[in-house]
Amino acid sequence: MKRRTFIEYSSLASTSMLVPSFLASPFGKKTERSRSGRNLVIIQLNGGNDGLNTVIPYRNDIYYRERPRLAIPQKEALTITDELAFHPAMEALRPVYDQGQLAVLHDVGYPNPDRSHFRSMDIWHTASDADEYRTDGWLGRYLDNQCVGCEAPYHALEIDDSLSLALKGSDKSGFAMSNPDQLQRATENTFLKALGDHQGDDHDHEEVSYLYKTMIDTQRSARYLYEQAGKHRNTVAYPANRFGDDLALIAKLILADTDTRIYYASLTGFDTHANQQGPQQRLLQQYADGVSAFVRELQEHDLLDDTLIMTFSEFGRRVAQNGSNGTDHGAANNLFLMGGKLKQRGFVNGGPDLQNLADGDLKYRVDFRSVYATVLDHWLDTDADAVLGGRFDRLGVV
Amino acid sequence: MHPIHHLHSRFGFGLTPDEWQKLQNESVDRNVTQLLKDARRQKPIPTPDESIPDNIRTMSDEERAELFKDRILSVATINADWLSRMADSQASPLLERMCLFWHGHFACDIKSGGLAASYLNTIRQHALGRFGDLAKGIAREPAMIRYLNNQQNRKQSPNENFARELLELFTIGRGNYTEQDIKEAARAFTGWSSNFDGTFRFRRFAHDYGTKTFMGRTGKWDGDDIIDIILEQRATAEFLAGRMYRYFVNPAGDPQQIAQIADKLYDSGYHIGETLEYMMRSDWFYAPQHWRAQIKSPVELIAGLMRSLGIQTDEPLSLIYLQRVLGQVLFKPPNVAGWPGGRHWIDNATLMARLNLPSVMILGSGMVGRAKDNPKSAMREDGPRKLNVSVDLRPLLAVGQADNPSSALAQLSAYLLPGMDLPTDLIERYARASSPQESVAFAAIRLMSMPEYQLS
Repeated sequence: MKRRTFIEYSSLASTSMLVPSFLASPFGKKTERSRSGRNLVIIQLNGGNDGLNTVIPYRNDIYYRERPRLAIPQKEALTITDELAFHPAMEALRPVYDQGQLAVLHDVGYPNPDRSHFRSMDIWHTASDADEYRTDGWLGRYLDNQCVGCEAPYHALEIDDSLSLALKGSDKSGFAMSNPDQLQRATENTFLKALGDHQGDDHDHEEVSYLYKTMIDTQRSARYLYEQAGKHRNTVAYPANRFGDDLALIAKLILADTDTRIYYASLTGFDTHANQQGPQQRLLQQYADGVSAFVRELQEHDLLDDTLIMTFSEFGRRVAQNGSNGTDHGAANNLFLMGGKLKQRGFVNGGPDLQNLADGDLKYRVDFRSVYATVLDHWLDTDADAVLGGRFDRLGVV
Repeated sequence: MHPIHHLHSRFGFGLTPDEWQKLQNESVDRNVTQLLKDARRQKPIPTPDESIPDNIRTMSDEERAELFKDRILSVATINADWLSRMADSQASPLLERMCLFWHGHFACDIKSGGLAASYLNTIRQHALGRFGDLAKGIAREPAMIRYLNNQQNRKQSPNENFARELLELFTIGRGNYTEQDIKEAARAFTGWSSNFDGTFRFRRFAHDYGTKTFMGRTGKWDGDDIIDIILEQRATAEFLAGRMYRYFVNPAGDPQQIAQIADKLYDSGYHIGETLEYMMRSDWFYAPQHWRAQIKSPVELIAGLMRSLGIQTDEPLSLIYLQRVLGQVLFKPPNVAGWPGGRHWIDNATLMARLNLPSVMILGSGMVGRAKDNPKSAMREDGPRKLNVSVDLRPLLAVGQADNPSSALAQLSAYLLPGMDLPTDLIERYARASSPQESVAFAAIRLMSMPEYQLS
């Protein structure tokens, strides 16, 4: 189906919308402009998601032995292959898997894993070794050195009120916005607008210039992003929660051909030390429903081929459950990649290796920086080694 | 720029309006003498009792959870009290500023109020004393021992974490020691541990009493000996002088001036107070290239605003919330290397929050943004919050008391942003109000909302 036809069809067919489709902004106008470039969407699961109850090795005795009360019984799990199943809350991801739009990497981590949330997240954000402290993030370094034609301050956009270390560079950084209305409010100070117009961003004092430039960029971006977000209405229904809203916003911005190429979103609450079942069930439901809606919407608009979605968490959890019907901080974990142009699909490196544990934790078989290197090199067409400050194996998945 | 303004911005948190009126025409020397005098008469802060109750074994799970929750919450109280002390005219801004410096230097994430108070008291005791005493005190702080895994540093299985950071970040810096030195230093700190109630404990049976060869010196060294040997190295004085220069003077280091500070530090037996006094009384500290060379840290900014606006709150969490939104929470540095500082403080969101902050505080109408999610929290944080603080603008209005708006603005500018070429017409236009007092308040909001105000 041609894209235009698809768009017209989908906007007419979307009965779930409250506004009649003929009042919605005409998508037709949009198709006259050609899209350039690919989108990278990163989803961060805060708190350390329990990967073993997300993708379940339902034929593995060790899994059932170590989790007498927490293991998900085979009959409840959503069987995907002869070995592996999804958590029952992730039904929405089955069609994504079936259409070859999902790749799962198991046992992703790094040497000498750190079990502190903050430290391990920093390691993921900065792509550093476990004993190295960096103050710039991997995407920030990409913006700093390797990103060509990325002058827009919102080239990398985090859907939050403040910016993660991953998007902080030395010279350039990403942009944080939790929603366009709130950003508008933060920049509607009329004095600061007049001040920006009056003073400009060229000052003798280097730091003064830097601050003015950041302020003026933010004011301009706020207006642009507000307009971009208002151009389209979502054509699929997203779950009614914060994460769903964030993904719906990203979809609207992508549909509007916004000058943003990297999007960053997060979902919080995965630190399930006690009574894990309920909270994880609820979060994985939010995740699967949100992401599948997002994938569906991009697909409807022929944009999924231009989009790569990566989901990670700062660590996995221990193989054995604890005494409170929860799990404690572990090491390696699974990582999801989604998109229309994956080179490998499904469980590309098998399931979790429960035979060779390190101190009761999954050992990493894939360094997360190999995933970054692959994304940077194969998806963003950039010199991954320069961004990561070292050579990491490329994977065939993207 | 005004030298008194510069001095108090760097070695304090800026002046209150009253202090400015009183001190601006006094000599630098008198100001320095007073700063040092105030720092010397400070007392330790109270430490919450975190001993283990006798009935701990018979407590229910809920009671025990409640006990530990209280201890975590008490960090918030210690934090807010410290921030309020930075803003308190009766306290010592120099001492509090030095504590902030050393907290960033001996960076440590602290999870209970008792440990935080103990750690902070050790810093307070030695902040202007001898660096060797400070380092030895910190090495005995349970907060640090736990943060850098020295609990697990035992003769049978040494853990090198503390020894490595001691050399790399706390004293001498990379390139001045070998991997073997780290191993030998770690042996010397074996058995330096802490009790459950948060006091230091030396575990004799975990300590390695054997001979160690560290930095070319062989002996039965313990942890204190290791620190003494490190301090014998001139490179340690140079490393610390570089840190001090970049923090207090200019982030762009000047090798010549750093060497002078290093000499002073080394020759005084690492006396921090004498070295600071030397810096504060040096002409070069007041040279124009250093004016506003620093981006204020969030804590500096908040403390400065509290001083200028007479801000008080009986809700400690308001102050902590503000720190989180702006990106610097006391007792919660990002890692053992401390806060990177400079432009790392600034992104689009934190800058707008900073620029809107004076209006939020004075007008009480606006909101501050949402803080980043804590990975340990069960769900996403709520939306933007209102700040629960009170302001007392009377001293500020007194500074801006004048016959006409232009001279009022000139006096306010001299206090808040001295020596700057400001767009006065624009500020006056946006400060128009129905009464002269309101107009002064608005002018102050505008000045404190300027990007230039973010610099120190």
